[in-house]
Amino acid sequence: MRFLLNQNFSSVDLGEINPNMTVLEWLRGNQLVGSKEGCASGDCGACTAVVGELVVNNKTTEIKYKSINTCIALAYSLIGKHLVTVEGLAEGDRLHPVQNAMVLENGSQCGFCTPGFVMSLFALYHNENNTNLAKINEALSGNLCRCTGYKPIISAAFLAINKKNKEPLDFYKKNQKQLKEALVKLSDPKNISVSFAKGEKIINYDAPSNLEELSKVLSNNSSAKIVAAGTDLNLEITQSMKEFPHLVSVNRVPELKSISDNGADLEIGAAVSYEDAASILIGYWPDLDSFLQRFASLPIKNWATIGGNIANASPIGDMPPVLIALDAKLKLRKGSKVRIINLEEFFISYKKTSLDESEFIESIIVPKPNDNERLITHKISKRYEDDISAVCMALKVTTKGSHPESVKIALGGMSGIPQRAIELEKVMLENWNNDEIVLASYNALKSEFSPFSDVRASSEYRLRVTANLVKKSLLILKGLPLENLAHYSVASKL
Amino acid sequence: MHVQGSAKYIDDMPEPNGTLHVAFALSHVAYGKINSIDIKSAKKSEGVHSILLAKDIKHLHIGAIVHDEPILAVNEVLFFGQAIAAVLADSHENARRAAALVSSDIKELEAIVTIDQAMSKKSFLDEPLVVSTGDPSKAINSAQNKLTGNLSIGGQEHYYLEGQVAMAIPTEDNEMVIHSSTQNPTEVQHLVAHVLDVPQNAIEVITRRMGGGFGGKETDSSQLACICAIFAQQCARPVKSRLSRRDDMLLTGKRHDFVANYEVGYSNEGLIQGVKIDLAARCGYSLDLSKAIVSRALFHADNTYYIPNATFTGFLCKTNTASNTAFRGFGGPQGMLAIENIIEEIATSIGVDAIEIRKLNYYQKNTKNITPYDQVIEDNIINELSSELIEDSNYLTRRKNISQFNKENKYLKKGLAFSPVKFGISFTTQLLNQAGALVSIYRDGSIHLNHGGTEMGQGLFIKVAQVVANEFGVDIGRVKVSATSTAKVPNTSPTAASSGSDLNGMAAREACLRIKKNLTEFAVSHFSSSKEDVRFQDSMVIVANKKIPFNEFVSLAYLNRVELFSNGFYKTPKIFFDAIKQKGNPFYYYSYGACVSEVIVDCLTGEYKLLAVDILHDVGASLNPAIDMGQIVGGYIQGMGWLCSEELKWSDSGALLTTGASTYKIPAIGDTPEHFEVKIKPNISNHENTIHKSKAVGEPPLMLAISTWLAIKNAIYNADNNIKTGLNAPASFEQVFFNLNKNLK
Repeated sequence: MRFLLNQNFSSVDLGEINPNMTVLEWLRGNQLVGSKEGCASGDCGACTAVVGELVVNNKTTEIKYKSINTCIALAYSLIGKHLVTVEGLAEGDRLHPVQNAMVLENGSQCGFCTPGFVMSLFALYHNENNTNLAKINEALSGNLCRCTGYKPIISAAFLAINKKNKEPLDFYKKNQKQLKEALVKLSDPKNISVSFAKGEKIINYDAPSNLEELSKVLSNNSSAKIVAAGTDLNLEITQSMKEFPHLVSVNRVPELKSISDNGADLEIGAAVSYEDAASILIGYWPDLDSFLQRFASLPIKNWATIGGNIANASPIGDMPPVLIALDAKLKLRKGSKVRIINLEEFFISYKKTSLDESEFIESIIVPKPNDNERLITHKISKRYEDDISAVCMALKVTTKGSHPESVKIALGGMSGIPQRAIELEKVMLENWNNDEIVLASYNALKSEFSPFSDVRASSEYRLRVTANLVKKSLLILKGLPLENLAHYSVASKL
Repeated sequence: MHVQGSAKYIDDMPEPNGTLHVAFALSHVAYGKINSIDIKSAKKSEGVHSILLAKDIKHLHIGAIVHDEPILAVNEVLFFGQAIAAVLADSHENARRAAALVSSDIKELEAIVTIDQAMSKKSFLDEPLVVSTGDPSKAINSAQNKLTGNLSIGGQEHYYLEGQVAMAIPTEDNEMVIHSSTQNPTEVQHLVAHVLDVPQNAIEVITRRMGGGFGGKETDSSQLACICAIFAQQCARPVKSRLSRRDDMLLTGKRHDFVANYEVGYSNEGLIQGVKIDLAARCGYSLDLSKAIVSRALFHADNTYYIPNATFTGFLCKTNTASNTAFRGFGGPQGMLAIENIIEEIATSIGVDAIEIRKLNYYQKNTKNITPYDQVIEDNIINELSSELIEDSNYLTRRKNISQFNKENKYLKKGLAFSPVKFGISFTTQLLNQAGALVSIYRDGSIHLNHGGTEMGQGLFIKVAQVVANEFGVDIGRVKVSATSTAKVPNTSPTAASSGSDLNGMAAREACLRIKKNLTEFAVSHFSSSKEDVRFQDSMVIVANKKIPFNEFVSLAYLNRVELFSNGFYKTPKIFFDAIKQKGNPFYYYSYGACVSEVIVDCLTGEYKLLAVDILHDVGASLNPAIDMGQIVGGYIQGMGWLCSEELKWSDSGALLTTGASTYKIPAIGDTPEHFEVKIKPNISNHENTIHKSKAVGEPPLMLAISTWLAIKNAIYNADNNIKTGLNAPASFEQVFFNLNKNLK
């Protein structure tokens, strides 16, 4: 139950706590009140801290540090990791370079969001030796500030990183070796099982350390809730005041954390984080780069898992449409029984999947692209950073010469589930050389989809803009430079 | 402190032993009669101490101007999210969990949700307000051209990062200390005293800092403080409450949304002859500050333009929604957007660049300088400020480049716009334009400063400390500003209307002058010198040829029984207003600014990106350029959010649907324009005798963002000159899409 905290080489024991407790709650209950609660839903970043964990890279073990939202991370998910909070940056009276830069650039006004920004900047500082605006925007994509207008914070990020090579190493670089040793000591391959007594209630927590044990725990406890990162699930705790009686974490199962290349396919463990999956996926489908930047804020991508995103079965999860378009399959496991199904058959109706009781997603199998395949993705939302899609569209086009052979289109936000748009595929194939495709697309969509009107978009906008996105995709395929405006830069154009 | 996370907000303070926590149960109906409220299962919930309903509270009603807001709904609920019960429990979580178990039987009645509904049912909180000059009907009818139209202007959630929070600590003899995250400690003090039925001197309200206010903590902090105080009085234990983000967004008011209906008459060149604008504001279920807010909207519907014949009429729509309240700009932005939209419409109807129409109609220095409310503008710099920015931003060249770009691109279109700001400084409620401060010098020469203003991130404490340090000629490090407390400076006005430094800076200066008078008299008698020979500079007191370190001099003064502390008081001169005629001089002076924005729009999706912003802003002789720059940049981005991505939505039955950061989108880091040039207008000073000739800066920059909304409107127009854009605010991507894609094709 131990983890490292800030500049201490000796670990902290979480002991028996309510498994529903978040990291933020634990911190603030232990007088570490620098991290703030602004939204309790992972949207504002006032609670941001940095987590370090051991990763094996080219056979060497190192600590990888990444920003997370502590308000929706469970305290028990810290076990075996290194948590750095805003209290852990300064060394004595000496501010950390990112703190100094924030002071020098007047990056703080009311100060409430500042600790979160400082921590996101710390993660950027730790991981990068040079930077640019795009990297800074991504690093700070999960932090909201209502006072400064961000300009001075962006300046602070440039200042800190540009001066990095002139600064002495900070505590975490200087003491990498010792910290690594301390973390190695904490890496215990044992299963974790806690029964927390709250009055007359017993609240259970299991974190099995291998696939077999995970299967066993889930088979024996059919009502237990699987939690990976919990970036959506834990909102039920912080927003709806729910208390889960039994949580089973999949994060300590190495088989679910690995990515393997089987020649024709990539097999991605269900508990692989988006940030880790992204680096592999982008290599095969470059178009995913800009899409994944908008997929969620960096702290969410650092923490959230690809399997969790699928199992959660949100109609507005952005990755399922992409994976459907890519013909991905799921490997599902129940006890020792394994089955493989097409992702597009996984989703049945709103938040309902074909997962059986005690069954879980083991991995996602994604076929690698051929030379004649191209993936195009679109995301429409109210804001470019950290926003839920009104519409998400993914198309995979296979061509033969300049002719289309097949098109596969999947949509998010258009129905109760991430769904393939079969009629639309036909329309696109039939109108390949016809720019005036909007009306036909609209009619095809209307025959297959009746999207909701909600806070993100009206039903009619969803239909109309999707029809236009078909046209936009065709124009892109024909070589028109219609990049997404989210990443439109004026640097060379003004 | 901020960067180390060691600055303490109320929720960070160690809780006294035995602290209990409050959460509200909220109404799920916008308008209805309460048949019964069932608290049985909530009472049995873990950790619950007690539960209050309206009937349990003796002095139930509070309010800013009139007491028309029950702390808990009584007999009827008047908006979705209104508090119907308050639960006290041993922890924040247990209180919230129990509050969710309170159930109610409410007979739902037909709610009035929108401005249109309120207007057609004549549901008003008060009589319409009218600012009028000349004969606009006649002027419009005899003008060469005429335009009519309407514009809907959205509201705005404050989204201060720190939500509403308060802690009440009973001390002795019916006294209570309240820690409140409020811009208005005095009002919290007075309302708590009222609900507890104790004299005001029994209540001390302390505000060290807020995690953002923006107007949302001017009146909306009182309810939470009052309920904590009532519970604390009942159980004689400390009681604390902080609202969850959802409850905060449901319970508290927002920026008023408006509908503007206008009619304008103008010459062939675009000279405005007459304007009539009806400005209808959604005020919510109670009055709060709506009257002053609507009246400020009317005072800014002229912006920088001389309009000889004008009638601006403001309607205070009473609706079944949370009571809308102060928000940076206080109605001014909505009035200004209405007239700027008209200017843009005139320009497109004539087919000239809108800057030509603006210049043609600008107020002038010695002529054309009287506002519709009869105030003579004495400090007009908008003509030269505009020319400077148009030149600096390369506006004319960029206009040409944009035309070229738009010719070459079918699906991407650019838009460019310039807009000016003139904002009146002073509370329009005259009595609020007063302030007090208390300055104490200790025997070691350290200085303690207290004033009535509150710190919410705007840098007020530093600015006023600078004033004090400057008066004594010492380093600012010698001055400590402690939490705002009603026990130190009484009867303060809210920190609002951008007035913080103007009022408190002058009051603190006055306190310093009084102490300096004591010290000077002492120096004169002790060193047999003359008054003219005593100076305070470089941390020294200089008496003729003698230089004495400040701390030694203070210590010497103490030994000689010199009074080393004083209060100071200030009231703004020259302002007066006849509320019946709506005429007078409501403002001491005006602040000016201008902004150029450039956007690019994707015509296929309605998405756009803000590419470039150039700002030139007037802060008089800046007290602190770094702080002022922060206010300008931050104010601009906040205004941009209001007009672009921040969209409040209600269901038809009046339920607020945008209740969190996942559905309500304030600007994020990537919304910061890549080209963002901000300049404080150099080498000028306030012509009025303000503190060090500076100008207020809190609110005016927010309205610079109007140029961004106009640039989007311009891009839509550039996509197709035949489009009559019905663009409303905020310019959501969806709305831009439907402006560009009126028909399916």
